[in-house]
Amino acid sequence: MLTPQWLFASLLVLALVLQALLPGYRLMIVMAGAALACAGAATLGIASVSAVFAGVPWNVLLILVALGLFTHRLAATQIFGLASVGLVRLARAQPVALLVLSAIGTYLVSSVVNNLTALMVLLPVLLTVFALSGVSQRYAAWTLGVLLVACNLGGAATPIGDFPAVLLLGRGTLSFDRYLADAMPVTLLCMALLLLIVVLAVRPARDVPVSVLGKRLTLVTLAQLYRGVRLDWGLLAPCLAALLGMVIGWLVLPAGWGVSPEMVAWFGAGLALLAKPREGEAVLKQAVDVESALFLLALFLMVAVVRETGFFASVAHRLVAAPLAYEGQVVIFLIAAAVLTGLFSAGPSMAALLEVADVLAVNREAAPVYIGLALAVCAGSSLFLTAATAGPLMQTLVERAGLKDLNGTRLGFGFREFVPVGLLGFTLILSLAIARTLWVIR
Amino acid sequence: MSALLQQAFRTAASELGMASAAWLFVREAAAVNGDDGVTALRDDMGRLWPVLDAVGAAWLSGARMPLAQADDVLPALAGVSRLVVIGMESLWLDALLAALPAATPVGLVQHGDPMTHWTRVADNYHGRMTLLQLADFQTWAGPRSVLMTFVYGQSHQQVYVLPSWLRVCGPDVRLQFRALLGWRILDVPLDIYPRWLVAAQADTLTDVRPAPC
Repeated sequence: MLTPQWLFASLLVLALVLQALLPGYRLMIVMAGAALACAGAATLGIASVSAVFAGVPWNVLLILVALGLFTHRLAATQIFGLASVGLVRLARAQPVALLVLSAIGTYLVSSVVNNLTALMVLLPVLLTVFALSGVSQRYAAWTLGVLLVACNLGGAATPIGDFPAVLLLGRGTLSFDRYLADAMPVTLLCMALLLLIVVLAVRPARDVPVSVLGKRLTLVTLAQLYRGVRLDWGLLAPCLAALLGMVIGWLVLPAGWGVSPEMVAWFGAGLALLAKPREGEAVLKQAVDVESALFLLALFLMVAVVRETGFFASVAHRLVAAPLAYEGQVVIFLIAAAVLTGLFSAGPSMAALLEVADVLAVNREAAPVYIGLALAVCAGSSLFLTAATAGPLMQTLVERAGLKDLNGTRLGFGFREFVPVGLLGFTLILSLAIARTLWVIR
Repeated sequence: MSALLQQAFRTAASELGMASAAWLFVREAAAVNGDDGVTALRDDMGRLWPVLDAVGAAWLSGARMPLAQADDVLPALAGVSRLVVIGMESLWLDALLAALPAATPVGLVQHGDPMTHWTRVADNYHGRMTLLQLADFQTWAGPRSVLMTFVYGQSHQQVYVLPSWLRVCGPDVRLQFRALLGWRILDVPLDIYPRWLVAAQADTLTDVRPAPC
């Protein structure tokens, strides 16, 4: 007979697997899973529904919603589209330069905004350039794949880049400046190594046809497609001021003042929305990412129930009790985190594994474990195309673009095309995450 | 290279318009390889893109600029309260919007190549252009509203227009607008089968400017 621990852990895994297999019903599946978990916990006397709800990190949801609204306003200034066009001009439509600069641009953007937005603003320009200049299947797969990995790395570089980091910030596990100081250098190193390997060893641009006319047409046409697009300074200035204010707030405000990270995010988003009040009101009504918020809420509820059963504590204690040095335990934990993320995606993995990390970090310096976990989750997000939400979105956008290669064959970017890039990104990021963690805890 | 050039032209034409994209491609081909480059472009892509072929022929005949003068149609738009445009030609629309009073609403019906990034098209006019659907463009009808499209060539009693025009130019629509205006933007008759265009009866338009010679 299933114990409550295995019952609710199985329910969590089943919900995650089903929502991955049936993405068209993912919200209904996870919400149903959460409802069953709460009802089951109350019925079996594990925890009351109010106790389960009290265990949800509501402040993290608030941070995500607030940053999502801020990102929406920032994107409306046209800064990302124009920056992408400038990036293509800087690369002079040369394939290698385009790959490198696009990856760097993606890394920088996704360190500030969420990964989905980072790709939604950059991809239209890049896919247009692919259509205008003509690319090979190999080049398209590697460039888009590197962009996806860069997106994950940028998201892991700052405490506001992506959900796993936001979760650490919201819980108060790590301060803003501590996370930045520990995570950013590693992600930068990963980015640099990834680009070096791809450019020098993989060389995906070697079979891309390049002609003088092709390059001219690409640059001139792109300029025409954006001929009248202008920066909305009336919106950009308040957004930049809000961003600066948020960063200062996260860095400087003493915890004793009671102005927590989610309040800083709330005020920052509010300032960006107030810059144009009528538009801000419309954005609040239409642009809140309800799907992500509900998905994460359901996830947190199921994880909270599993935590109440003691499952995570049990797993963590078994790991700590294993006949291994502490360093070995941490390595196993990071590898498991990366693989589980590859299978179940970053959100569920981070939410669940933080519970294990809490035990692993007891009586030890905690920061290396949490940073290692964030980086391992980043590695896992880069393993398969389906491991991050941005992957299937990218696949859909590429399919819609209807691109063809030199021979007229349709270009694709699916699970199989991403595998070599994913394996490289996964191996590189996880290796550096483990090396960095061992170096710090030695 | 032909397949890639075809794809590039289609991408450009989907958001700039066939004639505007054609002028861009012809100019660049001439800049790189002179008249030989334009001839090669016509040989390569003219059959698939007759508008490009026509623009290339115009270039080889000595034309160096398109006839993108808003003065051609401004008299027909005097006193207009709303303008609805069927089809996209950036060279001509940019000139027209610069000449029209800023208070005149202009709507563009989203219909054409499925690959068109309509948000990006509209962003170039920063709020000056409203995107409309085939299903609701008639809400802009009125006694001082004008429905306008682009004419790519004329032959006898027919005009060569975009397929979208046939979707909107029924007798019921004619009664709802002050005028159904055709802006003739190519001055070279189409020598080959007008692919991507349709031949409509000239009387689907109440006015064609500039008038044919």
